[in-house]
Amino acid sequence: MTKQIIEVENLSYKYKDATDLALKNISFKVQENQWLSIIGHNGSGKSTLSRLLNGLLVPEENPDTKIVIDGLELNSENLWKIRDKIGIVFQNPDNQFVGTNVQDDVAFGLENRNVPRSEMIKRVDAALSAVGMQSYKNAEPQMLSGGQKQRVAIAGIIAIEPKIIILDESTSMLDPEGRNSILKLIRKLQQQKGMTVISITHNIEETLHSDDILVLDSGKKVAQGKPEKIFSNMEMIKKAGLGLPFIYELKQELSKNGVEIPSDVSTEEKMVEYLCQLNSKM
Amino acid sequence: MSIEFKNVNYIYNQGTPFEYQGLKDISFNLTDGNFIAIIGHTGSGKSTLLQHFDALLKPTSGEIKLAGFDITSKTTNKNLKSLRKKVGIVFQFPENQLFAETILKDAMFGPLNFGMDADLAEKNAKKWLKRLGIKEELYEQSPFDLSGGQMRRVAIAGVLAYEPEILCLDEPAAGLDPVGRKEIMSIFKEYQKNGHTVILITHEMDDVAQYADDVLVLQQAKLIKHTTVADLFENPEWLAEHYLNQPHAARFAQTLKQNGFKLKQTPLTIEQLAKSISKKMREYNE
Repeated sequence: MTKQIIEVENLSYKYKDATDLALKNISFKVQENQWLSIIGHNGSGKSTLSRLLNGLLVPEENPDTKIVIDGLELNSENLWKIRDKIGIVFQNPDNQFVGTNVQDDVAFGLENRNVPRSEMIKRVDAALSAVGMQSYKNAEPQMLSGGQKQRVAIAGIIAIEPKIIILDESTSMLDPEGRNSILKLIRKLQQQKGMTVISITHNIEETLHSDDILVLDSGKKVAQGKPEKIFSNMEMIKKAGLGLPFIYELKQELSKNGVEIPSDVSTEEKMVEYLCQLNSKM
Repeated sequence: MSIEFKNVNYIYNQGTPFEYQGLKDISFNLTDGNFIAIIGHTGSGKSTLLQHFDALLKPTSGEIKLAGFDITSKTTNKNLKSLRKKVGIVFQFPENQLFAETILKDAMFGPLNFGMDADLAEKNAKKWLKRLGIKEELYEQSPFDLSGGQMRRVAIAGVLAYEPEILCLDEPAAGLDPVGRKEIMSIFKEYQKNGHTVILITHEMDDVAQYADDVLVLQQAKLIKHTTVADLFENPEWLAEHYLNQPHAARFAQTLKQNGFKLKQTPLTIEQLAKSISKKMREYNE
């Protein structure tokens, strides 16, 4: 039986001095152990939403608003228990670096959770080697490149093994190879440790592998569903200011050139198969 | 005129236990007015190299010639202001560079600092803010109330407002949505076509294919290749050996080829790919 790990109802948020709501009456659910991608244009409210989930921001007052994380309602009493369950990797790693060197930084979250020293050393080492940064253990933050700092930030979160991990554009500075290896690592953790992953991303290709996609447009939820369902609604995607995955763009371009591809050809593998089948008949 | 790097070495924290070499014996010649991409893994020295273009870092040894300046380890900071007027750098996360109390003042800072008179500075700042899609009613607001993507645009407008001859960009589109990414990349391309040099650090091979003329490939502080875009992507084996990707369209064509569907030329963009596929199918039908 799958259980709901995140339940959000009627959530709104307005920044101080802003005229418009940054989030307008959002409701959604996430099943435990799922991979949810949140997409939307810059300023659509994605990061705001992630900060509301762990109480970094406080929602607009409304008796119908509810945030439930792993069975606990988010309120001042449960705040710290909930923060224990959620690890966020932010977009700009400079804002997250607290240690004077790499291993201290990764250990910070564990120290906060009173993990015994022997256990801590093991977990810091494991996390650093998982992201390929073990040889930088003693390096100071200013000696690292942007992408390396992102790796360290990710190690800091996986070391504490949270139930829910939120990636807020946290691989944006990695090269494609590095990004794939980090995503593979997170996917492995999701499968082995039963972690739930929420990934805020502009990398549309990456969302093709998620269980569920949530689309935000100007603070409103405009769609939630499986990738095939989301990307077949091209009008909605365009209206939300988003790009299409490669395969859908290729289909559009082919159609401009007079080649129509059936709608069930929805992944690159299927497209290769389809074209090669045509080819063998030629 | 051209941009010339001759045997440039750069050593961080020289003489301390933290010493390490950021650039190793880098030499190249770039043609003015081109769009040049710098690619390579995280930590390969791309940002270190970029900071040499306006002498924020000076070579530990070797020589750099650009925009009428000679930069060596002996170059003093004295005359660098006129160099920096000619070479604008947009750093990673340029939104961190915002500081003024209004958006307009922030975008005007560069031009004023480089001696433009106030009227012209304002005119230029407004021109580029508009070009970057910042609405006029926001000009008097604080830049810090903007969303991350908009802050990025204001910061970029602030560099373009003094219209540097050489525009250096360190992953300017990281974290922007796909539509915004296309928008600002086409602004940079247009800027180059209007007679400026653009140097772009990127991880996105699709952007390299679409916008750049030449490519510099760095690996572990060394320049391992300097070539044209077409030539770089003609050689998938070399790219794979160095853990670099082809553009998405070229990778897709490669998979097609492995499955027996051969295209005449390696397509670098989706448009080219779609054209070659449809052409092949038409040829058959005829």
